[in-house]
Amino acid sequence: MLPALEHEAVRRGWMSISEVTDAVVIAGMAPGPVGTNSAVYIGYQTAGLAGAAVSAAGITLPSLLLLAAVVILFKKTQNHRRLQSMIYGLRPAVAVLILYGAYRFIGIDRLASISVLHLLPAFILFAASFYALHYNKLHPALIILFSALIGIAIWS
Amino acid sequence: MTIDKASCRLLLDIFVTFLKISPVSFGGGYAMIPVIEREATQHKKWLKAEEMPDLFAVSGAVPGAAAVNAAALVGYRTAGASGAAAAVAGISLPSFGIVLLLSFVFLHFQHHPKAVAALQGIRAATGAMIVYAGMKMAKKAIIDWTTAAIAAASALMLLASALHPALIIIGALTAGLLAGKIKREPFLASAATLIQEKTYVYEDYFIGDGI
Repeated sequence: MLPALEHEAVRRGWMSISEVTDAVVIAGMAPGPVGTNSAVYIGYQTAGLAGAAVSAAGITLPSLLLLAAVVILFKKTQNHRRLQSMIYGLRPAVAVLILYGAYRFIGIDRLASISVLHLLPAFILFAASFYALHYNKLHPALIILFSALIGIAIWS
Repeated sequence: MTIDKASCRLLLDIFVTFLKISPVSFGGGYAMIPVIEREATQHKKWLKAEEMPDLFAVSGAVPGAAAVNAAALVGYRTAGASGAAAAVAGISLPSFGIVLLLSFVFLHFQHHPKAVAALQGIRAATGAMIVYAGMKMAKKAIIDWTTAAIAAASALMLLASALHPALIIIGALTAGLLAGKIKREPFLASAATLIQEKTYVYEDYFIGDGI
């Protein structure tokens, strides 16, 4: 969902790529799905409260309609197998999309223009967060809190 | 469905129930699943326990947050379309409110030097979270050569062309259907576990879901 959000928001002139990055960061700090939260932020920044409400509705409804369709169409057992087949094919693509979203978010293509002095602590923080997530199973909210504090310590 | 006092009360009940469940997602979105099950089958007795595994399986299979989908289905089974609407509204409102609050605070303080610094830190952490979510999904998704091929093809199309992600997803779905037709028995056995294991595993909700 993230690449699609970025694609649309930038194409329509609502925000720049770095602002979309901010949207994702804010979205990650709140409970709920990141895609939905990002949409709400983008809607809010673009058109205030009404924009936020419209974005929330717009990003939630299609999934629900699809849900209704799937429930109606896939009640029979043979269709249940078809659903399994689709999930089987879908998941690899979703994994790729998530990682591509990470690639766009981190902005690897833009990294060349940033000084090493700035890049190194950011990378260490990135690696430390990942380690805490994967090996320590630290709660994401705590990781965000710590990274904010460390950020303030390093860069201000 | 006629709107009378009894059904109004039921709709309100559905709305409030899911409103209370939603903040629990701070523990992880899939952590909501057992809570939803407990509420739906034991506390409120809206549905029977046997219906839940299938309900959660479908909720996880369709795009969109599994918890939101599950809420919609529970609401629908309990009180029709308006029940589904009440459930989705209840489960979405807390996140919506918190994001609004954060957005407001952020947009007002984003130029403050400490805020800029904090944000740079959070940005690094968020990047790690997205990568982590991607790797977790990849571990679950790439289980044989076919899925690896689908992943490789998707990556190629993403990087080499300006193809819209939605088209890539449709392509992957079609590939999955074809694989199902060709492979038969051994494939079905592994695919069956794909749906089952998703229902009772606790996972990170912030980034892993709804991407």
